[in-house]
Amino acid sequence: MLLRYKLIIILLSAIMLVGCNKEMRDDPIGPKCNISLTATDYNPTPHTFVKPNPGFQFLLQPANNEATEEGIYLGRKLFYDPVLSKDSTMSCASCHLASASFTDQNAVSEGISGLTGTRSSMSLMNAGYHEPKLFWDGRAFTLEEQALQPVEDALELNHSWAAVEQILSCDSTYAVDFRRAFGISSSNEITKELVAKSIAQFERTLQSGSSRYDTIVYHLIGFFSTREQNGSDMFFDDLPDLPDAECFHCHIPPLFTNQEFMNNGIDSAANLFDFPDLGRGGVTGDSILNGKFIVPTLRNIALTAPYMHDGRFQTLEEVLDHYNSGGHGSPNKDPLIEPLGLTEEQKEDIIIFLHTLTDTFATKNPSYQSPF
Amino acid sequence: MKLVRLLLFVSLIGIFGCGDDPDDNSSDLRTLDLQFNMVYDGEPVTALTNFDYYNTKLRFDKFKFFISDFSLDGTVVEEIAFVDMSSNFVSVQASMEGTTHSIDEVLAGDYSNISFGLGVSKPLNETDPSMYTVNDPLGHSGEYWPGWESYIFSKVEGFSDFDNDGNPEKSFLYHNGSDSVYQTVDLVQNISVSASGSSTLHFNIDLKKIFDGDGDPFDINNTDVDHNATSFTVMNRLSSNLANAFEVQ
Repeated sequence: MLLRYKLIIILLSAIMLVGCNKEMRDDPIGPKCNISLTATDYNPTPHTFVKPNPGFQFLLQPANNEATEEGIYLGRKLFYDPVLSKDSTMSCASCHLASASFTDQNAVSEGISGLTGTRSSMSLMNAGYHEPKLFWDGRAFTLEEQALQPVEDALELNHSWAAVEQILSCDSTYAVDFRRAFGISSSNEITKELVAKSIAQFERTLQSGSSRYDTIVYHLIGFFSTREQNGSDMFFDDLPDLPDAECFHCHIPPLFTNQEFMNNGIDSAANLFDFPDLGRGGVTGDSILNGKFIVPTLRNIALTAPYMHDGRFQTLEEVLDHYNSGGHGSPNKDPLIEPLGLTEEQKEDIIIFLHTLTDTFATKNPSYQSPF
Repeated sequence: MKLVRLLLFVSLIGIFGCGDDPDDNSSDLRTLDLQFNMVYDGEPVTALTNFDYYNTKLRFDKFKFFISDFSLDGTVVEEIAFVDMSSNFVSVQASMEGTTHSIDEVLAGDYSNISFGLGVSKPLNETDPSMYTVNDPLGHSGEYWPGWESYIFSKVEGFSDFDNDGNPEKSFLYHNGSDSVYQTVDLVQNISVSASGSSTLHFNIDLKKIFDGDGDPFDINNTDVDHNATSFTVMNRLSSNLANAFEVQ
């Protein structure tokens, strides 16, 4: 009798252990649930995008995914929900922290398996303005396309979309959210495409245009300090008496990027096949584009260290030292990367100016934070 | 009899009333493709090709420009276009394929005069990217320079190898903009916009002529950078040369 009780206890313990194991999603994926949703109203409210400040262009939305308040709400939930990772430990927000202008402040990001990628997490601020050149190598054209990739990347969330769809379809709260956002009739209509659409809608709302720079330049309120102004004059080559730091050619306001793929001389390469990361060339197959990466925005740059596509520079001082040196040689180094001749004080002034691009109104915007 | 006449009259009105509007040319509107190719002395330009320029060698890395008021026989058929030839630098094949800008709704017919502005026309240059959507030709903030209050009409960038050792020592960069450097290009060429399908106009742009098209070789060594809209000497010269670098095939 005692042995029988012991066996039952062991059996129950085993069931509990297995039940708590986060790896259980390796089990065969069951069918999607079929929760009827027609009793829930579908009456979405269109979202009106307001420009971050008067200097920005008008944002364009894809015709097949115009933002609604319900879609944005759903996308925000999914962005912060670890349900998208295989072991439910990581979400999009794990590598895109609002407080760090939606980067993770690591040189390269770590996925659920402890494996690291080769590139640094990119800022999602003003992401809608950076279409159609997303990721460091521009391999995604739209935010919808971009949002599909990390879930199944073994170095990131390492999940399967089939499993995610199945889990979400059986979650009655999410099922209603999808109904309200997209008008589906049954939870079995939840697809990865709808997940990506909602996340993209949320990401398009992430806007930064309220920094000290914006207040002074676009709202004409206040003035730069002497050192900020010096930095600005060198950044934009506004005064012939000061050196031209050549920053503005690639970092043009209001986005502070020219949205081009460039080789900024951070790697020495004897030939076009000598780069440790092929960057844009790895996507297009054109060797002349090897070692080229998208020029990132400088908005909130003081919050997004470390720098470069592989996070090799820990500080802005290191970045300025690199550009001041003229960079390393390679066959396709950009013509703009040449020795600048900046003094230590001039480099400091440029960094002081870069700090005016910090926008804590955006990073602390309640609408961008976790809804959980 | 009166009734028959009345019926005939009404029928005739009906027949003619259902005819085409004589002013409606919509069925004759076709697509005209403008194909631009970069050449240097007749050779296709790619990023790693060295070209002889007097006592030095040049490589090109970037070439972009705006055109305004593209007209056929005096009629504007395209108000603004942004031509980015970056993708043409990757290979000889890409260079020979060129960059194409399509103009929809061009009236089919024969034409003999082509004209366009090189840059952004004055009325449009009084606007800025904040007035457009991000995908508009004038919505690229990277092609607008707030310091000039002007679009950047053209960008030419590359490297120069003064000692001819195969390794360029210096880069060059010429960015043009502001109303005073706007140029007009007039070309005489018989062209036919086909009434069926699309038609293509081929333009060759000789990059060498940007530097010596006026017969006086530009000193790239001593003026390797120019993006200063307060001194127009260099800008005027290079933009004038660029306007003369266009040839229609």
